[in-house]
Parts: sequence; structure tokens; C-alpha cells
Amino acid sequence: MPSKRKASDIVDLSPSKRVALSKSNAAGHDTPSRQTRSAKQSTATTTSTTTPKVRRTYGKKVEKAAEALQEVVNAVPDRMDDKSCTEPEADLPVPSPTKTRRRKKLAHTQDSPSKKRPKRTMATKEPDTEPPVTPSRVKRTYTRKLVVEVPAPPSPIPVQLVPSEPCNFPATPQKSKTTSNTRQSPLKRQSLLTSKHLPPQFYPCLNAQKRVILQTLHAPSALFSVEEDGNEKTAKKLLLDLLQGTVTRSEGNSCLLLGPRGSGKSTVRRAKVIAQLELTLLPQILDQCLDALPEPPIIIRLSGWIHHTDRLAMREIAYQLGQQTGKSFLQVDDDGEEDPFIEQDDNPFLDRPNPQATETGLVLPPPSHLPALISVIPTLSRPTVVILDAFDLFALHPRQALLYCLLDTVQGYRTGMDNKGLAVVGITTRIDTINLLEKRVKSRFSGRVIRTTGISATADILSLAKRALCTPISSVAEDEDLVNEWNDSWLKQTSECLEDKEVFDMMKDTVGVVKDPKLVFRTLVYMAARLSPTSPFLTPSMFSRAVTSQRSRPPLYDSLDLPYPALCLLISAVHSMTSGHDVFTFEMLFATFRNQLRASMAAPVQVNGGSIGMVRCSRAVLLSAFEHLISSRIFVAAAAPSNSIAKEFSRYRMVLEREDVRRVVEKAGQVTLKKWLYKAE
Amino acid sequence: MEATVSGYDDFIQEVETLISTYPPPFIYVYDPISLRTTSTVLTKAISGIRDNSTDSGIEIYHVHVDAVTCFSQRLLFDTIINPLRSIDPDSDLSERWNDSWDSFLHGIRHLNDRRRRETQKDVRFIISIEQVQRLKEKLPDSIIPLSRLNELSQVDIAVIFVSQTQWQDIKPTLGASPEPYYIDVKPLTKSDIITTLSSRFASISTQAQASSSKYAHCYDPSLSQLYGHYISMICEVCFPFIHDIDELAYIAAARWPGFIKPLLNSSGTDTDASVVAPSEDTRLRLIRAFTPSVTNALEALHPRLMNAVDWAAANEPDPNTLSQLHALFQSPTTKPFILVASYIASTNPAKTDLRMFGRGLDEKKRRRRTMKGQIKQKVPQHLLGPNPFPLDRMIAILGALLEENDVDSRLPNPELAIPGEYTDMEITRVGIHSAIMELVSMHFLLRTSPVDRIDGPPMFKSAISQDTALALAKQLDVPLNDLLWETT
Repeated sequence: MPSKRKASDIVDLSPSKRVALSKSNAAGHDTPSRQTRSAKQSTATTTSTTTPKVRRTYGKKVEKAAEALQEVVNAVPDRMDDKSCTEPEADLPVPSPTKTRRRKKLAHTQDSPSKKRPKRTMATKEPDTEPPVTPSRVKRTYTRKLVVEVPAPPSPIPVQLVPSEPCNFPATPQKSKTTSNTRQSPLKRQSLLTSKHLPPQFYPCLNAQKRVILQTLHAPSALFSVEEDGNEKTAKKLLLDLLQGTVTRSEGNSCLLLGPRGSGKSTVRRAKVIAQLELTLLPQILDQCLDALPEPPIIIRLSGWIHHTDRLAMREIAYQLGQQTGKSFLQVDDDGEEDPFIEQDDNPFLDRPNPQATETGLVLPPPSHLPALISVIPTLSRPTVVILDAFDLFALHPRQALLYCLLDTVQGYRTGMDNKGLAVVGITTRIDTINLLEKRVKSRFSGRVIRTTGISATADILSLAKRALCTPISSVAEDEDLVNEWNDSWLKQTSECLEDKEVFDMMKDTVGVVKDPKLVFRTLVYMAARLSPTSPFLTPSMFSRAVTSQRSRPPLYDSLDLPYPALCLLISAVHSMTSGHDVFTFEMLFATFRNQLRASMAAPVQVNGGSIGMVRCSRAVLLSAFEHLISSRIFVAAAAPSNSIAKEFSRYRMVLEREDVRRVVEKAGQVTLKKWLYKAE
Repeated sequence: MEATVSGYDDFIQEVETLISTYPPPFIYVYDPISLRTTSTVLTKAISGIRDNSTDSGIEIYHVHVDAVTCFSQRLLFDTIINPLRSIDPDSDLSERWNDSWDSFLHGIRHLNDRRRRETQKDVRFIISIEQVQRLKEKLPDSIIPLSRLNELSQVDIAVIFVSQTQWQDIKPTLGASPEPYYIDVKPLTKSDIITTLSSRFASISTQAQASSSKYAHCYDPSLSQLYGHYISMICEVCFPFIHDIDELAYIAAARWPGFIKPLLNSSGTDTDASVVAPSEDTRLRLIRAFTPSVTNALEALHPRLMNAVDWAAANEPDPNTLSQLHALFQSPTTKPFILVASYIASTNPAKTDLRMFGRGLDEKKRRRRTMKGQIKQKVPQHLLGPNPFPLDRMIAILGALLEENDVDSRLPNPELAIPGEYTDMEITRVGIHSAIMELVSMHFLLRTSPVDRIDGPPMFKSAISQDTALALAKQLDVPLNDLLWETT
């Protein structure tokens, strides 16, 4: 009987109509499962409120049954009605405030409040009833019905349900944590995934969901901070202690943050220095500051990737100091804090409260100014944190002068003096960075190495992924029910997808390849960006596509859709390799092609009026195909290009392997080309 | 710029979703086939987002840079910064943020702050760089900072690399750059291309009418349907050879005026109102008549041997032109002989000269090398390219050629009675040397030794192709194939 169900129908139906439909439904066939249902309905009417716990255990069992039935359903060949049924039941599970509200709403529209429950459950499935049903469909209808009914009834497990479980019940392990979410999932999967299109009223929900996921993945530090890994915590604490010492007690500190890529080094840095430091240190700074403004430390960020020399780094230090002290200089104008700057007006690095002054072109300070510049830092009005990204590259600078000066200043700090603190934080991925330091620099370095670790267990990654993907959307727009419905079904679908064996294996592989959560995030971004009304939920196949695209990059030949002349050249190149010439010129390839063309033209066989020989192709067209192959780096130059060598005589070699060429040619599917290629083997 | 390209829907959707929400800081778009189309689509998609997102809380600014033009760091910085700067007119141009990465980042930060203050919205910069493989060649140091621009600049910025090569071909060593978010562009199918090109007719038509170019009458709106058929014909012929939509559009544009001409002629004089869509029969006849010429168009236009306008002009009458090069040597001078001699000198090994040109010896010794029976075949020299030769050797070969083929055409000179004496005199004339230098300046010969070297004979290399050499030899009646050491 459930033949055509559309979400819009469900939504649009008036309550009275729903009642009518449900009645007609109830008047239908009498089978055990139907009896079960009606029994359940009656129980539902009696006990309107139940403890969540009872409900959950109940739901687990039922889910098993439902899943088993789902298997049966899936075994049946696809039907039209599979696609059209959608998820009006999404709001059924755990009673939430909004749900009760809705219930009330329904109740108001009805005459008798006592009938609340049955009506509601009926309302979820009523549109099944319209057309006459063929016997073959009846069975499936029952399965679905059963599932529909499941969440509603509260207390003890109906005995009738157990016999309805098929004996070939697949032992799919379900985590107890998620079962509560996936109680209705079989139907959900059936209805939402097979539905060709998302009902239009959910479009804003889908968009909001995408947005939320992308937002979470964009700034994943929130995810990490939730997850208080043991190591992470100690790393955080250590760094925080150190920075606190610098800010509050004016200590000179130095440390090295060491960890693989994506292990949260920068995240630790950013989260801590900016957010936590300000928060935790707010009271002290408040005490210090007369005007009760929180005063963050001066932060100087340098990166080894762009500061290739110490002089560039010095210039940038001077600039950043000027920017930051210039600002504070203006803020605390009356406090007399500007004294150090006025006194040292002759110092070329301090006299720039005005940032314009620094924009005078690339005038690098002489190296001799370095000690002067660094020694100014302790005299500033605020503590300073120097962050050296890609610390190992700074160690490669000649004489490591910058590091020496910084670390020497740090080491020379004495507390109790008028100085403000200085902390030098190096960030690197290179394990032997300390060994790179010269002896005099190493002895000035405190030797503190704070290690961060990547994520090692697949389960961690999975939970991370789940947390990222299952961020619920807050009310996007008008309809709160809609949002809740969406959130529920999204949660179900996603956790189901993540629990899939295939997905788990792929995650495991991913973590096995690189222990970099960023990679996982990229795959998730790929999936999230591709959600659309036609495929609104995550699926394992989508996941595998994402992994192919982001982790194990498709090999070159996969993306190649080469035209005929390029294919000819590739095959010629294979022939040239077969005859022992890995390095070839265009002329060689062209000669091979010409001979092959001549050979294939020799026998003028025609099939169905068309020649089966190779297609003729002019030399100029081949040459431009050759150039295209060069520019897409399939042919790479084997000798340095020279002015005196004509382009058809420059030597190249092919990047593709023989096997790759075979695949490309087979993908193109031209018989003559295939035959020609096989001649080379 | 152009109407939408069908087949890019997935790409556009992905880009729009990402850019309008939270773009990954570093994106790599890979398209091995039609890069230009992709970057056009990308630019259009982003500008579309800009237009649509005016009411949302974010302001998006997009800069598209072609790395071909950025061959120095300053140029790179300027091409990125200047469009961003021009969005607000009252910025002072005295500040140049182009001297180092630091100042570039300062500039980015400054502009970002400024825009944010003015618009009171979040500001996002999108920088897309086309043909990134050029950066690898010219500015290899810039790839790492560009890929890390987001974290270096600490503002909301996304960098998109658009390239024909894979990321693994240009990525810096030691994992210095973060891995990008990959977007692979699917190649366009034939039907996509046909749809796209046909749908462009409307915009071409309005443009042509508006600009009243000389082809305006060819793009009358009533011909739209015929144009669709015409495009499918073009794609039918050319798609196996070219998959790039731009190239196909180029060929289509070149052939269309000629294709439509019979129709326009038959329909009357120049009253464009009378242009009517042709009947089915006419259409079929037209297409059948023009299909062969499309192949010619492909062969001439795809390698850009000619430009579209010239080709269209040249192909209106029956194309019956001779190759330009051959016309150059119509006059009987010594230059063709020099070229043939240089070709022989470049192709044959020096020690075979005596065998090939020696006179009076046993003809049997003139055995030529055959390609049979060798395990690893040696590649013939004419496929590997010309070898350099000393001038003396070429002059000697020239003498042999002249003695064989040119003696009879000379005026009789009784003073030079000894056989070969006349030729000896001919080849030592200063005219020969000046002709050689002239050929060098025309790049038919290449001088491989430095000009200022005086010890030893100057070295040259032939720069004509085998086809040209054979054509010249035929013109001179020289049996060139017999004089080459290696059989072809």
C-alpha cells in the first residue's frame, strides 16, 4: 500500500485527512505484524511518557529486527515506491521539547487529547494508502510499517516482534553509543538515500549543514580542544606555564615545539597564546594596567620560509615591533610608557610609532644592528613572545646569528629587574633540529622541547570525523521542526556511514599512510562540498571517491583523455622504448607513426564502407600534439633546451610507463591503436 | 565573457560552495586538457559568488594571475596587489608592497584591514594563479610562501593554483608546502562541447551585430539552428584530434563565413533581412561539401600555421598555393646547392664522404648502410637531427655536387680545361661565402661555432627539414636519396 509517498504530501495533509487515512490503513490486512502494530499503538496511548533508558533498549532490539527486515527489503528488486518514500518520521525518536510542542499542536487540532499518540504515528505513514496494492508488495509494506511503528511505543518489548526476526539475521556489530541514534535508520536509509531528490523544504537545512561542516573543518582547533588527549594536555600545560612565566614574572624563556605536520603545533600556539593566555592572565594584567585594558604581549612572528636571511628577519622584527608598540604607544599615551622610545630615538628600530616610516622600500639593516635590535626587546613596555616558524631553517642561516642573539638575550634575563619577559618559541617538524644548532647557540638554548603528537588510532580519527560531521545545525530559518527532523536524520545517516566497514577500512588506510588529521579533513571537505539535493547524505562510495581524490591521487593516466594524435605519439614512444631508445625526438616518433600508417593503409580492407586502417594525421597536427604533451609534462626534456636545436630534434623522454600507456589507449578504445601498441610488446 | 560551459557543473558547484563558505587555504585545480577554459570558468564562478554574496556577511575579492606574465618577484607581487588596491580608489599609490615577501604580506594585511574597516564586513581575498608550472621554472622560491599564504598573512585568504601539470611535479621538496585541496577537472565530452559552442551563437551574434564587423551578416540570428548543425559537423571531424574547446571554437569561427557564403549568395544580395534558415536538403549538401575543408582547417589552424582570418580569406577561392619556401628558391642560384650540400654534410658521417662522392673508383664500393640485421637499431641521423660540420667539408661536397650536376649548364671556358678545374674556381668564389652567410642570417643554416673564433674552420648545421631538402634536390635534379648514407 505505500506506493507513492511524497514528503510534501505528508506535510500538507491536514490532520483530519490523516486520521481518515490512518483509519483506512487500520482496516487493512490483519497479519501478525499488523497486530503488533496495533498492540503497540494501544500501549502508546496509555503511556505517553517513558524513561529514555527503556526506550533506548527497546530501540536497539527493534533496530536489529528492522535491519534484518531491511536486508529482505533490499533483496527485493528496486521499485518506484522505494525512491519516492521519504522521511517524515525523522522527528519520532527521543522526545524533545520541540516534539512535545508539536504533539501539543496536534492535540489542539484534535478533539480528544487521548488519541494523541496513535494519530501521530499514523500521520507519519498515512499517505501509503491511496492506490490498490498487489500482493507482492504487501509483505514489504509490512516491514516498513513495522519500522515506522517502532519508535513510538514506549515500554516493554513486545514478544511478537521476536518471531518476526528472520533467522538469517546478519551479525552487524553496532556500537551502543550510536544505536540510539540509528534506531530508525533502516527505514531512513531506505527512504532518504533512495529518494532521488531531497524534498525542497530541506534545501536550507542541507546548505546550513554544509556550511557548518565546512566551518568546523576550516578551523579544526575547536575539535582538538574538545579532545583532551593526554599528551596534548601536557604540551599545552607546559607551554602555558612557560608563557605565563614570561608574561607575569618577566622571565626569559625558550622552547621548541616539535611534532609532525598537522599535530596541532600552530594550533596549540594560536589557541594558547591568543585566547587562553589572555583569559588566564587577565587578572594580573588588569592589576597592572591602570585603564583596566587587557594588554596582550607583543607577538613577533617569523617564518623560515620567507625570512631566508637574518637581515630579512631583522627587518621584519623591527617592523612588527613598530606596529605593535606603536599601537600600544598610542593607547597608553599618558602613562609615560613611551619613555624608552624617546630615549632611544637614535635607535633605528624603535623610532617608528608611525608604520609609514617602515614602508620605504627594501632597505635591509646591516647585520651589525642585530644585537642592538634584539637587546631592545627586554626594555619594551610589554612582554614579548617571538615565534619562529620553521625553526630548522633559521638554524641554516650563516653563523645562526639571529638565534644566537635571541637565545643569548633570553639566557641573560634576570628577574626582578625592570625588564619585561621574552619568550622564544620555535616550531618545527624536524626531529634533529637541536643538533643543527651550533655549540654556542645550543648552550644558550634552554633545551626544552615540547612534543606534540599526531593522531595515531583510527578510532580517534573516526571520532574526530564524526564530531566534525555531526555538528548539528541551529535553527536555520522558520521551521524548528524541520530543523530537528533534519538534524536527526543527518546524525543517523552520518553515523551509519562512518560505521560502515568499508569506511572504517579506508580511514585505517588513511591513518596508516599519513598521521595527519588535515588529510582526513580534506577528504571530509571534499564530501561536504559535494552534498547536493540529489545526494544529500554521505555514503561510503562518496567516501571512497574522496579518498581517491585527496589521498591517493589518481594516477596520471586516469585523468587523461587524450586525442588521437597524442595517443599516436604515446604509442610511438613506447615503440621507441621497445627498440632501446628511451630518449627520442619528434622526428623519430613521426617516422614510426608514418610507417605504421603506411602499413595499415597497405591493405585497403573496408568494413561497412569504412576503412579500418589508421586515421591519417598531418605532421603539423602531430607536432602540436607533441607540444601539448610537453606542456602537460608527459614528455619531459632529456637534454637542456638549446637555441640551435630545432624543436623536432630536441630530445625527450616519456614519463608514463608502458602499462599506463596501455590503459590510456584502452580507455580510448580504438582497435587500430590497440593493435599497434601490442606490436611493441 | 562567454556563456556558460556545460560540463563544468560539478566543478562550479564545488568551487562556489567552498569559496562562499570556508575555502581551504590552498586549492590545486588540475586540468590537463583545456586550462584556459577552466580558468575562465573559475573566474566567472567566483565573480558570480561576489555578485550574489553582497548581502551576506562576507566580501570576496578575487585576483586572477597568469604566471606566464609573472617572471619576477616584483611582477608577481604587483599583479596580485594592484587589483586588490584598485578596489578602493583613494588608496595612496606611494606605498609599494612589492620588494619582499614581508612587505607583500604587510600590503595584504593592510588592504584587508582597510577593506574590513570600510565595509564593516569580513573580507576574503581569493588569489588564483594560472599556469603555476611557470612559477616553478622562474620563481621556485615563491611556491612555498604562496601555498602558505593563509598562515603567513593571518588574514582570510585562499590561494588557488590552476595548472596543467600535477602538483607532484611542482611541489617543493621536504614537504615544505602543505598538501593542497585537490580539484580535478573532468575532461569535456563531445556533447558538452557541441552544446557549449552552439549556445554561444546568440552572444556572438549580438556582438557581431553591435560591432558591425565585416562578418556581421554571417551571424544573423536566423542561422542559429544551422550553426548548431555546423558545430556538430566540426566536432565530428575535429574532436578525435583536438579535445580543447577553444581550439574547436577557433576552427569553427574560421570556417563559418566560408560555409555560410553560398547560402548568403543564393538568398539574394546583401539584404540581411532575407537570410532564411536553409532547408534540410541544402543543409546536408552544404555540410557534405564542406567536410573535407574542415580537415584542411584543422591541419592549418590547429598548429597555427595560419591565423583564422587569413585562412578564411585564403580558402574562399580554391586553395592552390605553392609552399612559400619553394618559391623562394625558384631562381637558379647556388643557394639551393648549398642547402642540399649542407643537408648532406649534416646527415652523413664525415668518413663516408669519400665513398659517396669519390669519382673514378669502383662503383661497388659505394655501398650504403642498410638497417637490417642489427639487434639494437641505430636511429638514423635524419631523425636525430643535424650534426655540425666544418665549412670546408661542406664546400667540398658542394664542389662534388656542382661537378656532377651543374657543369653542363655553365658557359664554356676554354681556359679551364682540366676536369674539375672550373668547379674548383666556382666554389672558391667569394659569392659562395656570402651566400652561406646570407643563408645563416635567414636561419637555413645555423652557425654552431662562436662568431669570434678564428682558429679552425667555422662550424655549421643544416636547418632545413628532410622534406625541404628532397624538394630542393628534385628541383636541381640531384639524386639526394642515393647520396644519403642511411636509407630511409
